[in-house]
Amino acid sequence: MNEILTLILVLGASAISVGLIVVLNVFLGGWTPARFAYAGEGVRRIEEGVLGFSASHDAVMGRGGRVVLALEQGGARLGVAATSGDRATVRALRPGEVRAVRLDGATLTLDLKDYTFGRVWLTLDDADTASVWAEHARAFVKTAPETARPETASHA
Amino acid sequence: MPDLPNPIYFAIPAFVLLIVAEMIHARLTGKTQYEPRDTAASLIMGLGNTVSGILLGGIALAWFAYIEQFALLDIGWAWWAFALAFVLDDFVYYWSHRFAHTVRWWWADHVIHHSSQHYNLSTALRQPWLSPLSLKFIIFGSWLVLAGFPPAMVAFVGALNLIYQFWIHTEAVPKMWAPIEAVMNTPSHHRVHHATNPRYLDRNFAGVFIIWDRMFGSFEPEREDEPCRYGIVRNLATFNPIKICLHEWAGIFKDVASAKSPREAFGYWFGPPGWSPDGSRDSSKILKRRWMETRQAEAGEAEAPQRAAAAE
Repeated sequence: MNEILTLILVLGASAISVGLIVVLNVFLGGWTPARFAYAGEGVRRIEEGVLGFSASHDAVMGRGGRVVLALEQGGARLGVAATSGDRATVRALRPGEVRAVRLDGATLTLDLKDYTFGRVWLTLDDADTASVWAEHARAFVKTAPETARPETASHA
Repeated sequence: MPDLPNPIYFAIPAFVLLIVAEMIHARLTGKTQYEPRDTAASLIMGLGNTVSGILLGGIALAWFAYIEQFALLDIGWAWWAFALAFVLDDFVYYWSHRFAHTVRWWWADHVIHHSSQHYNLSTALRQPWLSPLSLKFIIFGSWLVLAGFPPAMVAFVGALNLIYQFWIHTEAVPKMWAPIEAVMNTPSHHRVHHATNPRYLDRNFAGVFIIWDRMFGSFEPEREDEPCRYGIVRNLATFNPIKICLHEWAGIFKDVASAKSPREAFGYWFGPPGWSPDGSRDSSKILKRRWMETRQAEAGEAEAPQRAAAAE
């Protein structure tokens, strides 16, 4: 009985500690939500994070600097960089890895076949630019033979 | 048999205090970062790991109690047996950790620990919830019990090993005195292990003693000219603990369901992370090779004008 009680106390204290540490983290600050200053910064992150990805000059950044899209040279992949907390997550999408593309004025939404990166949306400068990028993205909805699989790799 | 406590329960208060200290240090120096959602995700994963160990750890304990009857020796509880068990357990840890990076079935469990793009003491506690189901502890932990070490001793030294590994998850400690760096796993060595730079991929698997990496060819020193980029090759875009826990398992099930043959299914399940039948995905080996080829090509381009000048 004592062991169970100790266990419950340890777990309860741990749960409270987790909450207090996170509150302390919020209170102390020291982190800045990541934002791209310009499209090239997002492109650099994609090229850094996806070995072999070489972006074309075709890149665009959403308002607020949270998302950058970039076509690879030759157009084989669509690079995506999206901020997440104080870091950024990148993907190089192959045909078949985009589930759907939606366009609402200047706002473009991509639904991805990705368990942890399901949706990315960005508002561009104007509806024409958004329309052009929607067309780019739609090319990655269709599955091309032998290129539809997402890449995974050991970490780390 | 001595009544051994679980040292991890006693270490938890120290873990909490050290995280708070590092968080304040991070704020004062800017040498490392804590981001609340990342911190929360890591700590919740750690708490969940403790709960799952209580709920599912009985599988491993029952197995060890069963196989104890087949032990070759009766080593007993002498002090030297603890020391020997600690070193041998670290050797076994090295190999189990190496396999956790090279067999997708075990990587699906271990990837959780690598899934933060931050590297701080809270990252140490970002641990999986389903480890007992991966059978890793049974397969790798059985050797010491079968050799004759008491299961409780194996569990005890294993816990000490994990406690040691807590403090090395920090950017606050620079490279240490050379003799320590030569023998022990240090923050510098383990930063390399958590980095996704191709040079650093799948290196420094050690738990306590870095000598195993030096012996088995997996050692890579941290370089000042190549800062570590932390996380995994395909970083997660979520702080949701459930998704963090399950993402690689979901990937395996999806791939196995799409397999065209039993061989393909086997490859997706037990091949290296990134394995695919047509080689279209990026495994660590492929990434390292491509990186090496790029470096050689760049070096060739840099040397070409010098060679031309020398020829003239």
